[in-house]
Amino acid sequence: MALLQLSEPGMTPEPHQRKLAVGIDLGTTHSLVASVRSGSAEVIADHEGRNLLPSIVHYHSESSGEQPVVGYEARAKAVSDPLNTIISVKRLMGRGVEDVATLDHQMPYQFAEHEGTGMPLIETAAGNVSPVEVSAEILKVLAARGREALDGDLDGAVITVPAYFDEAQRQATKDAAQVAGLKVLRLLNEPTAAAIAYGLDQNEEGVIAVYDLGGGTFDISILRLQAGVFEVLSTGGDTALGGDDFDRAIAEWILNESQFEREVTPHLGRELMESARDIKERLSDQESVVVDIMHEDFYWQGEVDRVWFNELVRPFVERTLKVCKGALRDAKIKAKDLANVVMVGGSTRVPCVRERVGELFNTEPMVDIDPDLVVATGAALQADVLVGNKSNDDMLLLDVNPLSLGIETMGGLSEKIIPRNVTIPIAKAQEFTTYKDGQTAMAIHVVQGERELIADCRSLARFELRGIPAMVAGAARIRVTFQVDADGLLSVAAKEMTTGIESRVTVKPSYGLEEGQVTQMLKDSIAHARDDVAARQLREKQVDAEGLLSSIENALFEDGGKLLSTAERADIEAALQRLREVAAGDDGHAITREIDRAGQVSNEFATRRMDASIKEALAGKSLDAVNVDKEG
Amino acid sequence: MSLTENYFQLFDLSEQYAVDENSLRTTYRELQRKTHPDKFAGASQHEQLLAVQYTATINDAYDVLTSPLKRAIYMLSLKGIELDEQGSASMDPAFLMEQMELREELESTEHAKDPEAALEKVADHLDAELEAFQATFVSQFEKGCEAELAAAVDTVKKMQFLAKVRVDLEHLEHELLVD
Repeated sequence: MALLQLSEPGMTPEPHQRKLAVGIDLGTTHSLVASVRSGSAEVIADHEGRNLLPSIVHYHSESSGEQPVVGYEARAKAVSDPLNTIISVKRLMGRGVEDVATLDHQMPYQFAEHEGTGMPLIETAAGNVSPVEVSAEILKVLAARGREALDGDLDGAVITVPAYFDEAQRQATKDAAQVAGLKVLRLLNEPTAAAIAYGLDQNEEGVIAVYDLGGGTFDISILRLQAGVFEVLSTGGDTALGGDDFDRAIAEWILNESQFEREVTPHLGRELMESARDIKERLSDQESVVVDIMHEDFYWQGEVDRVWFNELVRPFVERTLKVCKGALRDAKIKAKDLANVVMVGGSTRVPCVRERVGELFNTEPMVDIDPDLVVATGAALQADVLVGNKSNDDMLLLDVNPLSLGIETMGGLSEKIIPRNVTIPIAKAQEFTTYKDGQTAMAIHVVQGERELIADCRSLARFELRGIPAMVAGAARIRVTFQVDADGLLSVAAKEMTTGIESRVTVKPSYGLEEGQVTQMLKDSIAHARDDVAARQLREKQVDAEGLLSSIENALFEDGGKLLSTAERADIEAALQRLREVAAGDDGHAITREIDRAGQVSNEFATRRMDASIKEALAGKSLDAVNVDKEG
Repeated sequence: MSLTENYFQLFDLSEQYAVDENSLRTTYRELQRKTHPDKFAGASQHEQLLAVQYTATINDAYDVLTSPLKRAIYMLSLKGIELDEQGSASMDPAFLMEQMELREELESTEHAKDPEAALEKVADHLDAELEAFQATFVSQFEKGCEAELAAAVDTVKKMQFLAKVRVDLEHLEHELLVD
């Protein structure tokens, strides 16, 4: 038997190696990647020095064998090949075929239904692709940019999502990251990310509002910033409202004015949208612009001004203001109590947006940070902390659940279990009972939304609790527990209390991907890149093993002496040694097995550490109180 | 210190109704700094799960301890008294009458000259009543004998009633704001 290697008591484990992590802003119209290098967070530009990557993917015909292209190169194809150039895919994330049908007039694509899941697939020359796969293409390009700039494989990424994204949209984003081969450290809400970047930079204290109007989504978050704590008080938004809508309103107006009678081809549609975007951008600096659009048999010429534009987009801007008022009310904050309003997202460049927001909050909105870069920057700061490069003792992020979660009860009503705007992670339980005598199964339908009728809420998942003993109606006690984690993702457990029969699901949204499908996509995507699947998976396991080893070693170093008996410590050390040995080899199964064992052996230790740290927190507090008393 | 302990112990507080919100908030943040999942992003799966559970419990505890109504219900549950949902039958008629009037007043605000001010008036009325009930609850609860605890349950049920009206009021306020 090999001798176990034990580190000398009191000796620090291996010197800390700097980990490579990025923050990614996966936007509707463009995406960015940023990282903390030499102490400050910076957006990573491409070879041409461009920070933004248009969130556009162009697919070539299958026979060409070429890889899809992403970004500016794809954008160049948008007018000539609109059906194979996927724009604003974020609007499709986590949506079902029925939802997508309502977007028909906005998107030229042909949709097919993924059998069994109800997930929409976009028909392209390269075959049918899911929104998750399209997003994964964008993420791959950003990840590659990060790898190149940081010179190594990435240990993890923080990916931002609109605060108002629901469960399905969040899960789809996480799936896309997995397909792109990224380890997700956290899904971070976009306005919260902006608040981190802004708050740390300005050393701001007090209550702020973050108004985030992007290409396709709108968020408002009210946060309290105090001594490194970023506490979200309330959030509101609309995940289908953004600068895209401004463009569409312009395009539709022009089409109407032109009295063009023939069918609008996808090419012309794209051309009009491109012109509209150009008009919108020019009107941010100029009072009026001359427009001249010629595309095949379409022609329109005219002059439009800012007053006209303001009138055109007014309904959209007013919609955002209503949501802002609701968020203030939920936060129990008056507009006059805000220290600042931070503007985020490219669409806040539009002058009338700034004016109206300024009027509502009765303050000059803060616009001297680049509204395009701030979200990615904040994500990078959080990634740096989460990956373990920076001590995070000072920074604490308390985010909230944006939409109420509940289950369907008799009469098609939603019984809310976790209300919106509660701090996450959170777990709440509620008891239900049977409706009929002898009922042995119960269908549980999980929904998200504020409305009372199930029909008006978003259906998240359905599952069944079986094996309830036959009792008279109302006698069984079924306890349903909802748990929302720090990514805002939900898991649900149901338990019959008299028998202890249990059923647990991680909510996989109705239109989401099954675990196996994600793995398959990952394999397909790697196979395409002519990478070695096995080698890659082995490497990932080794990275996991290294992470676990260093985490437990650190824990032993800090608390092993205090919290463990000699025998307990030896057990853990032995498990670590076995893990260390297999991690050096190439047997993936053995590594997984030893990771599980090391985890199990150290479970009790982990619990004791957690309890000890709580005790320490309380002790520290009373110590402070004592000091204050002395001073007083 | 562990999760099996009650919420007051978790926050190092003595088991009494009156709480100091500032010190509660300070403790809450100190606890969060130790247990938040962000502190365990690189840890084992078990530790990450543990962090979620601990933080979820601390969040729920904070929610309960900062809410006058939830705190009252929780204190009763610590005495082994669970509130059942169907209890309004036992409520005294005078209170129910008052509630009906309150509801009518609430509904009539929409036709008021200044609906916002009218709502505010009802809200003030509600809050004053809630506060009075809190005081009643404390005195009943502290006496602690069976009869007084039963009376405390009644008081909490009345508070629940008022809280529901308060929710409806906020709903109206919201509609007023956004339309």
